[in-house]
Amino acid sequence: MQALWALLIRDLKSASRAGGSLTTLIAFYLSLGVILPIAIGPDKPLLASLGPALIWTGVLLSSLLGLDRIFVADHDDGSLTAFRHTRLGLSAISFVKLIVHWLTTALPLIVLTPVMGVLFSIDLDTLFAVMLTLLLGTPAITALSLVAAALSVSLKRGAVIAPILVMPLAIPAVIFGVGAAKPVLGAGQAETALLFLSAMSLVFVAFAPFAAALALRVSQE
Amino acid sequence: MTDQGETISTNWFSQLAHPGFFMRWSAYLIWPLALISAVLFAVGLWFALFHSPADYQMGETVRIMYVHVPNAWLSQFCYGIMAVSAVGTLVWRHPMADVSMKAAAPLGAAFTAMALVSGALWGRPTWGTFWEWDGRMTSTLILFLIYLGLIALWRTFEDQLRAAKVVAVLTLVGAVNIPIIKFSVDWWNTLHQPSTFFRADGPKAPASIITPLLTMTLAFTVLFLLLHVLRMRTEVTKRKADRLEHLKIARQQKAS
Amino acid sequence: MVPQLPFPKIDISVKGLRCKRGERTVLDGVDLQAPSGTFVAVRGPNGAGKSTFLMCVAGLLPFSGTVSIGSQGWDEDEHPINEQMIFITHLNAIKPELTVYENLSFWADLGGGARDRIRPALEAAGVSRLRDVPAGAMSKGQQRRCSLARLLLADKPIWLLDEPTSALDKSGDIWIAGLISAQVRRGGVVIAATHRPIEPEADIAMVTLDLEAR
Repeated sequence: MQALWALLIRDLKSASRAGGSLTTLIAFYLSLGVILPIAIGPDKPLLASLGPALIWTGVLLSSLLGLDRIFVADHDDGSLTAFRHTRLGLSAISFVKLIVHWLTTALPLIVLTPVMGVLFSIDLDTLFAVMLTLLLGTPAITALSLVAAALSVSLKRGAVIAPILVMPLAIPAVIFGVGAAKPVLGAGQAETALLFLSAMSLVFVAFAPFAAALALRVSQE
Repeated sequence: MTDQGETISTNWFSQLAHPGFFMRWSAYLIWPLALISAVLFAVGLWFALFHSPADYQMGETVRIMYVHVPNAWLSQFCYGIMAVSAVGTLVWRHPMADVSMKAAAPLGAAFTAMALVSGALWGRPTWGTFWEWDGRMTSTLILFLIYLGLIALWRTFEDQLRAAKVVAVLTLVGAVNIPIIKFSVDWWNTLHQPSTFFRADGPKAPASIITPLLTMTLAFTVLFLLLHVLRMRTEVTKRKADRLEHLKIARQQKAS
Repeated sequence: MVPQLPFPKIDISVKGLRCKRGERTVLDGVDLQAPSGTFVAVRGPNGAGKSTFLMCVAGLLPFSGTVSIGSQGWDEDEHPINEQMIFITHLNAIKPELTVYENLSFWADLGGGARDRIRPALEAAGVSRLRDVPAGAMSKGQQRRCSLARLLLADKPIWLLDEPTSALDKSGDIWIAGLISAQVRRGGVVIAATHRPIEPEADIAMVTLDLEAR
């Protein structure tokens, strides 16, 4: 447990000092918030009705941006090999990486979402609904990103290939996320969608570290 | 089953699956498979084109179904083969499992693409549009994206044995996800458009439709098996050639 | 310094080691006997499989043949990661944005030793002045010293070192040779893959493993 904590602290420190990546993330997300309304036109009711879907798409795309960072640095500087002789298993390490990636990628995007809400002129209730679905749904996306990052860790072009692997698998999260934030069939639908969304996040977060550990072990051979 | 029985059967299996031995026995499969597939296609097409009724709503275009349904079935069957091969790669570390997985991926993508194209061609006269965000079509399109991802990942690796293991992990992750995707897309579909289109679980189809449909499905499946065996043989030969090439280079370097 | 008690007896033996990496057979029939208190120098040209040999002994690659460490032996397949060893690869496992102290205390917390050893370890490595400097600001040689200081934190009987002297100057070479000699005298086993020969003190039992290019 102490070792896991040490890894979490080290990765957060390292992420906060390396700099640049958080700014890139914010800039990318906000750029989408500008480009999409410009492409659609300043039609406020239309933007408001598209808002939840656009925000979810924006979060998905932005979170794929720094995906390769999850394991690449530790792979390139030899830390991943060194981990193999510590008390921590690769799955425990992957679990910590999942938390770190969520904290450094998904969380800032969720915090920024009110700004997007203003740009898309969606009302407060919808905004809260969107933020709630993001909170419950992004762990599933982060879990898939973890596996994709582990699969492509030894590849030079990993940063290009990994998002392609995540996107089709992330579709259910988008469906339930938007389905809960913008219920077309009333409150019952939102409830169902939220339940599915949470179940998906729980299951993916539970299994992804093991799949990632397997991928890491295999790609070191 | 006794322990001995099990060891014998695994030996028998691993012998059958040894690359050299595979090349010998699979050679006898090619012509029979090609012949069976050709006969089934001839019979199936004859039934489909001349001995099945035109639909009272869709008219003659219903015959596209005899191509569309087999391809849609193969798009999933092929993923099943890949998932089983992936288990073979990761658990038994068997080289032929890699070969089978690698051979199946582009075939799966091709059959899925055919299912999508035939679906679009069928959709145009029936629904009045090439693409309808219908549950089945959407799931098939996502499956196609997953196939593309697998192929792309495979091609990014230089070392084929390492690639096989990594792709196997992704194949299994995909296999777990496909039911979730299918379920979520169906749910999404019921929100946006209550389905009134053609459904396989509708009223019981008469034998005049079932016979050509089953024959064509069988014909396409045998064709798939034939192509799969052919691609596996090509892959084994290619690996042998690569190995010889490496040896040649190594020898030249030693000589100089 | 922390008292240096002798290690319990621990012998390494490798028989008929064969290892494939991807499609390439890198090692084919390698044998090694390294009883407690031996320094093994693994030598050979580039591509001879020095790193692969270390990774097999470290349990990071599947192989065929036998590797036994102490009373535990493994055949045919991966062996569980052994808690008795520390493996310093040719990479430093140092995060450039963290300070030297933060880097080492991280590895200490991860089970590589106690935090109160960090100070003496840094002093021994000759980088104690740089304790609070970001590791990325140090020279390559200083980073290497910092990475090797992990050996002193961990206090494990078996050391696996991949090119320990790379980027080190003459005094660094001497420091490493001294470290290895002390470890071997305590009854440990050091297996090091090197280009430049390491010269431990004269009374140290040394075995040379020559690998051929394939």
